Amino acid sequence: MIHALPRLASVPWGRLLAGTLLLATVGTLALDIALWSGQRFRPPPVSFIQGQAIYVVEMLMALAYGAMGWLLASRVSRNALGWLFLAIGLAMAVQLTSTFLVQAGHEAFRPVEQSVLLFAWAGSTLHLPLTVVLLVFVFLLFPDGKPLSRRWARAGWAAVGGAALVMFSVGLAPEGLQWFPSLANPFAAPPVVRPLLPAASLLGLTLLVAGALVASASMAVRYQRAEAVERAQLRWIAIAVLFLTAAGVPFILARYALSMDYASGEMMLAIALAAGSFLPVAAAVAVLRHRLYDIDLILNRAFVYIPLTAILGGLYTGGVALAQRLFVAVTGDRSDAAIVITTLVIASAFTPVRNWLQSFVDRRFKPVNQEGHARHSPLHELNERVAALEQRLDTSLSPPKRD
Amino acid sequence: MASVARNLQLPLLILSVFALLGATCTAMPSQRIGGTVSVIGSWSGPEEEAFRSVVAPFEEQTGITVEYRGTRDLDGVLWEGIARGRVPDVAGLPGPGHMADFAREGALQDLTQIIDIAQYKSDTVPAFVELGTIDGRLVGVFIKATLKGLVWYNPNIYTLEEPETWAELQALGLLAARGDTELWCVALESGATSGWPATDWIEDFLLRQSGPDVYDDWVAGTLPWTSAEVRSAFEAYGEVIGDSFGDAPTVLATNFIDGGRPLFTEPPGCLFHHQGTFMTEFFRSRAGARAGEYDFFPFPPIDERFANSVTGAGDLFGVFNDTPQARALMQYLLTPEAQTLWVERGGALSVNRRVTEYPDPISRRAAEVLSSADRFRFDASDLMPETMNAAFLQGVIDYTQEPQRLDEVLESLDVTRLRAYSGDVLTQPQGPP
Repeated sequence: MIHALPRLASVPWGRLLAGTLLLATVGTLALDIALWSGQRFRPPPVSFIQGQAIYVVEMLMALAYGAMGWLLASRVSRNALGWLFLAIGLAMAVQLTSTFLVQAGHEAFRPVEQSVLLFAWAGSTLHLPLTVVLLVFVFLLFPDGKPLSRRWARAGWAAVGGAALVMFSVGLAPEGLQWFPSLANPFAAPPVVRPLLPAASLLGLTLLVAGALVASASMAVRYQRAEAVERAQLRWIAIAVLFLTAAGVPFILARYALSMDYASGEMMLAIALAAGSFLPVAAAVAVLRHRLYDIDLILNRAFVYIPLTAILGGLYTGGVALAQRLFVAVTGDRSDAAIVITTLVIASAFTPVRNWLQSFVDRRFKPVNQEGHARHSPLHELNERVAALEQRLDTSLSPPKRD
Repeated sequence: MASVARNLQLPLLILSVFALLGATCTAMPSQRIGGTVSVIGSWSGPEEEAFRSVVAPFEEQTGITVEYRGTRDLDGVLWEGIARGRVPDVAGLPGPGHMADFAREGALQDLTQIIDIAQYKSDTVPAFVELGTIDGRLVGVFIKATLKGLVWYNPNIYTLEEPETWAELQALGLLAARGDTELWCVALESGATSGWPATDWIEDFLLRQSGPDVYDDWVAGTLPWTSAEVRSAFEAYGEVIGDSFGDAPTVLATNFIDGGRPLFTEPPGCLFHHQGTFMTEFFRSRAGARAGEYDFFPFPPIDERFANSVTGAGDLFGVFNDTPQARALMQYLLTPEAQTLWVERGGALSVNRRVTEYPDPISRRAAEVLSSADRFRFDASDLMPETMNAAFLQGVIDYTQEPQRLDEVLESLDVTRLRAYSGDVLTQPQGPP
């Protein structure tokens, strides 16, 4: 038992959890595609969305957020950003599942199953406000996982309060489910509570939008205060945040406060989704081009060794088969020499192929500023310490100067 | 303690006001309102009588007089009324496709504030709520449903078992037919909407031959009328006409309400009649049939992959003038009480899931068939744009008259498809079921 504790402590729980969440996202998306293909990719009965394009974009977004979240959470698991990205991706994938299940419920002439109705209620009520809250925290915490100050953090809590009020209002709306207008609300408020709902919605929306705007402003302030290296890392993210705020706030207002025809609503949603898609892309640019968190080194190695394994594996299999045929053609029999020769050839090809791949990847993903290592990076700190240690060693080991 | 009570006074007062407001908003039309409400619908004869009997308790309770006018040219009358600024308060709508046109014209009221929307959605199957919703606004509600594609027969004449496939039905029909009795009775006459029973035939064939996906593509205008699937459905219908009582002029000249008469004549003119649940009303009133002299089985599967698919329709109502009387009537028509009165007359299925008691075994079984089907598809012609629907009606009449003109009929329908689905929709009379 005493020995078990250090073992448990050495398990990379963060990586395991991040991997599990990414797998859950990918698995849910696979389920979504299976469900939707069974419906011949017909647009589900959802308000604001009439075509198929939005669903395809949402699937790609869920994947992009999940992948970026996994990358960040598994490498810098103490930073909340990776987990926020993972949550956004998974929630989007799950919300799509509820959408396609609702569509299946419209096939027959009977009420949808209670479990589907509850799932649809959760998707319709919780998904959008929670996503806004998660994005507000991304705005506030990027890139070091900490808000600028406690005062700025209040924007996040305002968004949480606002989202709770909006969910209260939408979740009890007697008119039915907001995103699935053909379904009754299983938690429709009794008449006595209904007059409270518009007020709750208005207050919640105010807080939610205020939270988003303040969080967006915090990113601008963070960018302004940053030094050159950090500013380069933040540039794309800051643009993404401003773009997302400019597109997302009008959409939230349209969704919760205005009566809008589906065509206009769909256009606003499409713009908001396009802006939302930009965020993981901007994060990827910060990581790869500006060496944020030093993850680019890991990605760089992955980009080299995964294709290297595939190429050498393929060459080996093909080489053995070819050599065996040659032996059969020449000697009339198979020979183990074919395996030995192929192994030798492949072993000799290892270094040239790796070097070629490495130079290719370096050319493609070379960081803009080799000098500018990330400030928020354990490797950066380690490098600095090693450099200092080397300097000390040099100083202490070098022969004394002769005057 | 006293201060606590004082602090609670204001919230309690606010809650009481809200409770009062809430109670007012959801009040059922039980108080006397008086005045009149004008209603236009497609029902006549026994169907009109049924409607009048349904609204009789409402008139008594509220003092409101329901002024009903029936017409088969519902679409034409409504568009003319809109053009002249003289629309009825409440109207039966020709179908979801036409309802959408009225809604986009701004003629239909949003029912969200007129009926208890939460109750309606809770009581009604989502497919029907969806069909009444345009751009998130509920503008049409279903007050009764019809199960279509039923094969009616006289159990005193057809005594063999229920066929399990279309091929078996034809084989059993040949066995059961005696003398000059034909397999089918078909009747297409229906005034401005003549031909709609034939469109039902083609819809049933297409759904069971080619499946719901092809059916949906056809409704959406993405499947050409000249496609092998649509052609096959027309040809199957053509074979039915070939095995029908009387010749093509008889089929075209007989009003649909008399379509089942030859089932009950001596000797019988036909073995089977293809119609919806509402037909029982006409069996009794027009053919003098009594309970036990008619029964049905669902349209049998043609391709096993698409078994347990059914077609149906419903009577849509919308409000053109938002008056207290119109509100009261709409609220009443959706209540389980009114729905029960509909189904008690026979031939109607309730859209309200709280209504589970049916007066006779036939209605009960029809309701079971409807709710147990894996796939429900709404009457395709009612979902098509007006121009397409009108051309479909004309096309089936032309084909019934001259089956050799099938290519020409289908090509003409395809030309209309390209026009109708591109937004070039004309306001021509068309037909509800």
